[in-house]
Amino acid sequence: MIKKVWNFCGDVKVNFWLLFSISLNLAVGAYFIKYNPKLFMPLNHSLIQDWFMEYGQYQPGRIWWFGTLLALLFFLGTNTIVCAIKRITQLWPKKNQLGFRLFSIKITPSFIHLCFLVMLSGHFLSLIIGYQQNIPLQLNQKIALPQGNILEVISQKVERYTAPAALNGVIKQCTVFLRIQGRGTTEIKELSVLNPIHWQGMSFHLDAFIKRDSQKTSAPPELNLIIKKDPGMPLIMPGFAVLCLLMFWYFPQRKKT
Amino acid sequence: MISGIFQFFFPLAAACYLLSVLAFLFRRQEIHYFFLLIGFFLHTLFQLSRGLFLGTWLPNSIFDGTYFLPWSMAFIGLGMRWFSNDEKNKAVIHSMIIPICLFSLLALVFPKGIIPPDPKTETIFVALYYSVDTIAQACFILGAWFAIFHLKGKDADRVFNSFLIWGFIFYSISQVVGAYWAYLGWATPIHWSTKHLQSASIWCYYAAVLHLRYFPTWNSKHEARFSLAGFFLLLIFNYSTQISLMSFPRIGG
Repeated sequence: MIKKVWNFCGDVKVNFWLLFSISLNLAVGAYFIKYNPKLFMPLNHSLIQDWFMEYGQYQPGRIWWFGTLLALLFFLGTNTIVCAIKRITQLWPKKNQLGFRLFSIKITPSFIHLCFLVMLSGHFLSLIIGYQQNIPLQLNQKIALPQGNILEVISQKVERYTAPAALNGVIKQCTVFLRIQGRGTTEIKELSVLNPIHWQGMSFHLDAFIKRDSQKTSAPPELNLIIKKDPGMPLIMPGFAVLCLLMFWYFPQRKKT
Repeated sequence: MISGIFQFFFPLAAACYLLSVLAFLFRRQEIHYFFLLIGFFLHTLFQLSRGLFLGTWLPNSIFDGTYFLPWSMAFIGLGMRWFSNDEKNKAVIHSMIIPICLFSLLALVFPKGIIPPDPKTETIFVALYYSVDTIAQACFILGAWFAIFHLKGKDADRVFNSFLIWGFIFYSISQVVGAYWAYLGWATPIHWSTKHLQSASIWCYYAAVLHLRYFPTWNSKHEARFSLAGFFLLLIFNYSTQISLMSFPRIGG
């Protein structure tokens, strides 16, 4: 019985259908998000359980695809682990027989799968653990951070294009200066859009809302401060980057052999 | 001034591609190749001019998928002509002008103006993301084109599969770059938005297709059929995004 379950979990056919179903599920999700932006937008700055308690639970007809997506991803993770273990245990005893090069080529898909698992775990952690605050910024505003630290917005600057004429007045960059008070320390930090700062395991991001048709008006943009502690991020980016590098090496090698 | 003139080169490039298709259909290979080269040259000037159109260097505009997609396809097509020794697939490689021309003609429908930059697009990662993403799409589309011939028994070397593989690699790279851009700007590597979910859907679809070969009953025709279906998925997602971008204010029409 256990062997049957193990073989089913490690079946490449199951893997194909899981990936295919996830693709379909994501396409359905894209449709629901498009037509329910108010429901799904808060998911971008909340943990999944908080979002579910506040919004999701009241609209089961619109969020069902989210549940199936998580379930399918869980099964895909399980399937990937079993496939990788099966392949490694099959190949490892043959490593001397195959020779280093051929063995490296044959074992690489398993490493690709492991990288995928690392990435998937990172996404999962990002969804359920961590800390996130989204605060509309105002000058001289004081924001309480975890562990009794305080952040203060001391000044802000909006840089606009002055040339060429076609772009005159269009917003180029927004910057705020922050005073962060920790235990016995005070630091002044410069934060601008796309240039987050990292402090004591947290990252601070500046988000600017610029209405499409008001790019050229002199009105200042609405600024949002995102304070985040994301334990998944250190897994997602390296996992995905190594996965790409391995694929870049593996596929041409596979063709050669 | 010069970049302003080059802005009008795209319709000329599309016309050259069309003439190249006609020459290909009438089996006039030299004329077909001549118009392809001229079209590609004009198209390249047009793409470069988009970066300088507003009088300042804005590389993001060069990689607008509407125009960069047929350019990438033409680039790959010419590269295959110059560097491939695949005599068996010569006719199929030459026929790549047909999708190049179709996507160029389709691009004529879309506005050619430039979406003004904003603080969230002032990074190299935007140009990098859109360029690699579009190259991946070009690979998937050309893969689907070769898949048609494979189903007809003409692409015996399964060139379509190589296109799928390279498309998938480039698409994965674009997803990493896009995730990093999203992290810098929005503090999250994946945004719960239509665009991100569609991208993830395409990635999972092609990941599934690449696993088909491990089926015991696998044959390359299955993969070719899935490759064709992937083309339609890509087309719907890609152009639904392009259509939604039409409502954005643009400079230059």
